[in-house]
Amino acid sequence: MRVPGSEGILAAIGEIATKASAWLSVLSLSGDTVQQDYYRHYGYAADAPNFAKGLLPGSFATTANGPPLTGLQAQQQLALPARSGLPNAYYNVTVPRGLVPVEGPTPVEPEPDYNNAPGGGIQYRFPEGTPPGSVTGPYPLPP
Amino acid sequence: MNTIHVKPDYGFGWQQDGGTIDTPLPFTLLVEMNENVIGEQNSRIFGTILEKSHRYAGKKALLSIRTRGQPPTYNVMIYEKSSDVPPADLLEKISLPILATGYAVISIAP
Repeated sequence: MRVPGSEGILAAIGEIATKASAWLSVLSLSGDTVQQDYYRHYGYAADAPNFAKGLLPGSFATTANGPPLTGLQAQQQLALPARSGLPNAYYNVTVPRGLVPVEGPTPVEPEPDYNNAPGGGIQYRFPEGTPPGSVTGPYPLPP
Repeated sequence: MNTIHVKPDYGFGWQQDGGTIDTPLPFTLLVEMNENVIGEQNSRIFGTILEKSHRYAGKKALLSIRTRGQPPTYNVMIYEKSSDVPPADLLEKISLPILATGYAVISIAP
């Protein structure tokens, strides 16, 4: 028995199930789920078009552990030049573990020329960039 | 004099005139000063960009080590004019106008 008006809800549930199944089939290899690695790329909201096809080759990112940094924390810990002002956004980067070349983690050195940035943040480098769809955002930084 | 090959990285984005710019093409740097800090080779490298067709042809560049992983990465500061070059003692704080900033990896010619 169907409740009147429930067809739309059922259709939506079916659509979600279909999409979930498709995702699972993509992520499944011989029954093992591909692990994902998560990173954050700090920058500017205006740079979003650069990441439509993923991070560009030679891009840097940092760990996604903990809450997002403020603009000042990102500038200081990641030793960013901030000549366009402090970073105002971050991007989430999700890549399948072992399938995307990544270098690091390596600690960022101090950079006295960038507002005496002490560094100490963690840097990863993607020499070949990341795949299309791996970057989401921009998300505003906390105050 | 020695030269090094500089391959600019997107990194966290190259900046000039208050905005993000396209990552510059690779260039050759004629090394005029190379500091080894705390026993580390190539901690700060300063020189002139040689390629005549490069957008920063003839400009001065300072490369300052950013991460010591493999490969090491560098912060890059491009100076507008020769009068903007840093003082001879690069350990002193540099507060001169910078044209552009970015990131790079380098290789040293044998």
